[in-house]
Amino acid sequence: MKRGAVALLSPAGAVFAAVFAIPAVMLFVVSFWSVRSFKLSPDVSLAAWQRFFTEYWDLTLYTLLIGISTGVLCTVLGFIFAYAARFRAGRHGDLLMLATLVTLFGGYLVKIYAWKSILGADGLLNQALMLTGLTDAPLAFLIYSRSAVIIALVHFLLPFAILPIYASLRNVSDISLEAARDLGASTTQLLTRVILPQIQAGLFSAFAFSFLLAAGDYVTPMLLGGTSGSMLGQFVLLEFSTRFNWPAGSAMSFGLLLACFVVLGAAGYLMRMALRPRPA
Amino acid sequence: MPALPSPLLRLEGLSKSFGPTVAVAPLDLAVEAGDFCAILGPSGCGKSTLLRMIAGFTEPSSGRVLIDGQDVTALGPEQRPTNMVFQGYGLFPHLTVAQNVAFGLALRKRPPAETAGRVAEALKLVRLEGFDDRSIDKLSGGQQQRVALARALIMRPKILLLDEPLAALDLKLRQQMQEELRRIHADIGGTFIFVTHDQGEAFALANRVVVMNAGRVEQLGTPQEVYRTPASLFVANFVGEASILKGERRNGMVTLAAGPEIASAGPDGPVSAMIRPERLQPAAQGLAATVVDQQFLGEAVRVTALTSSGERIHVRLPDGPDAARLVPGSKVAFAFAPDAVRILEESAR
Ligand SMILES: Nc1ncnc2c1ncn2[C@@H]1O[C@H](COP(=O)(O)OP(=O)(O)O)[C@@H](O)[C@H]1O
Ligand SMILES: [Mg+2]
Repeated sequence: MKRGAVALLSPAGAVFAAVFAIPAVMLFVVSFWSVRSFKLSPDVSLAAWQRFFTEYWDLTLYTLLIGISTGVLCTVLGFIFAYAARFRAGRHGDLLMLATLVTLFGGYLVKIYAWKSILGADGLLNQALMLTGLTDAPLAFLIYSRSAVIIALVHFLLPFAILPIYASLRNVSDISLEAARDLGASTTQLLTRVILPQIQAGLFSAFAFSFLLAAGDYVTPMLLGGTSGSMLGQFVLLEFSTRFNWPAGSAMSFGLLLACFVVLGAAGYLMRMALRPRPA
Repeated sequence: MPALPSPLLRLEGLSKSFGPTVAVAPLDLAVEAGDFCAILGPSGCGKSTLLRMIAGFTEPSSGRVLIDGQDVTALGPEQRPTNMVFQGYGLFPHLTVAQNVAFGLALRKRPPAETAGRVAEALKLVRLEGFDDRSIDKLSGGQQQRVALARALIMRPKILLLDEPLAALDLKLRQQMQEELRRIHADIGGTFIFVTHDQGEAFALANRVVVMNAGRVEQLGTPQEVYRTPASLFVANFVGEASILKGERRNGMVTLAAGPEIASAGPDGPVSAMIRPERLQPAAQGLAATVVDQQFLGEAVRVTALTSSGERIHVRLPDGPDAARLVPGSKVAFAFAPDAVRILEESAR
């Protein structure tokens, strides 16, 4: 690497080290400590990791599942919205993106409480269902479930998926699309062979953002998840605070982080394989 | 009824309006198989719109497009036996050169061996052998142009359409690509229709020229016809250089305001006379004028002079003692052969 490039990259590198690398290393180190009657002792113990793999492995899987579902839904819905904004809204596409950004200012808790009042036992949805006579008692499973968590997370995270997809769609030239049609491409082939392969980076960013933010969330499951929709983050918080078991909390955080990287790697690989040029 | 030999492409009453803007007024046009046809006109005259209606990208407001006698007006570009080379090329940046060229065949699921053979053949035709695995952004403008050409030609279209194919290239490269296009046209014996605003390019490439102005076809002919016998003042001025002199016809004799008289049959009334610059020679008598400017062009000298009627005339003559005498301020006469003059009615704009 040239010296100039090193100089240019060093501020970003410093920020990366401060907010990610150093905390990650600290988590990793602390996860091997042990704790006795609320006192931390810096030794080498596998107790915290044992706890993670025996007590929390199923919750970790469910957490990843919620994250993946949210990520996939956000990416698909985000693509549909960004596609419409890029190819159907004409000159108003950028305005739609501004509107998307503005919805982020609505805040996070407001959206969760909104869904609470929609999905709750005496919420809008149940009232509407009973008014129309489709049900005669409130449906309890609407709220306090995994799907309630996913719905709220998708609602909140959708803008994070739309923006990178729209940005990469703007780089797809109209002429290349006309050229593809001229060469005989159907609408589906246009999508799978010209548009999607060109916006892989945007799709991956969209998935990565929404998946990571969803998998690491603990507020939404706390308010909307009940017992069946709980996520690992809630228990990380519990271990760190109430139980004062820092090693366990660290092992769980670090374990989730590693699992997330595995998911992202797999997602990137699957996408590349699905969108590779055919036939070579 | 015996079938008449029909042209490869026939446009019948084809027109296009965008709201109140008439981009192409209803026109009829026929292009024969094997033609290299130029659609020539100033920017905004509707050339691209016409080409896009032939390709199927723009739906006509009226009229029909027939290819090989078959009405294709209702078909999209993916269903027409035409292929297009776009102005900005529109290459696929995520694919290599070979994958770009193979795109259309890959969609048709041709056997890989056939596709590979035809890709090699197409790349050879445009002289890009060995570029198969290059990525598009590593190519120069001229090379991208060739990829776009190969990508269209590999489909073996009945008609190849090109929108300002060389406009983005610099002069040297443009001349080189003009030669290449002529060679490719001759090699494959196809039918090419291209759009250009550059008269030199139209003449260099085409055997048929369609001159357009403000959405209308002004003239259709060989380059020689269009140059020597323009159908209108617009064509006379747009295609090459011309001196336009006003005059009046009485009983088959045109009297120019600048002096000379020319025999020309037709109705009485105001007319214009057009003379190409190389058809005027300095002489003892003829069209009297005062030289106002002289430009040295290398192989020739370009002289501008003002007639006694105040009209500007353009003369082009080989560099030499004759030309040297035509310095600004000198009074000279220019002679011309009777067949050098083209009389245009005033109604012909
Ligand atoms: N999609 C469109 N919408 C509205 N007007 C258009 C459109 N395409 C072309 N025009 C108008 O039609 C006229 C002819 O355009 P075009 O065919 O592109 O001309 P050229 O290729 O000769 O420069 C112009 O006045 C242009 O503004
Ligand atoms: Mg144009």
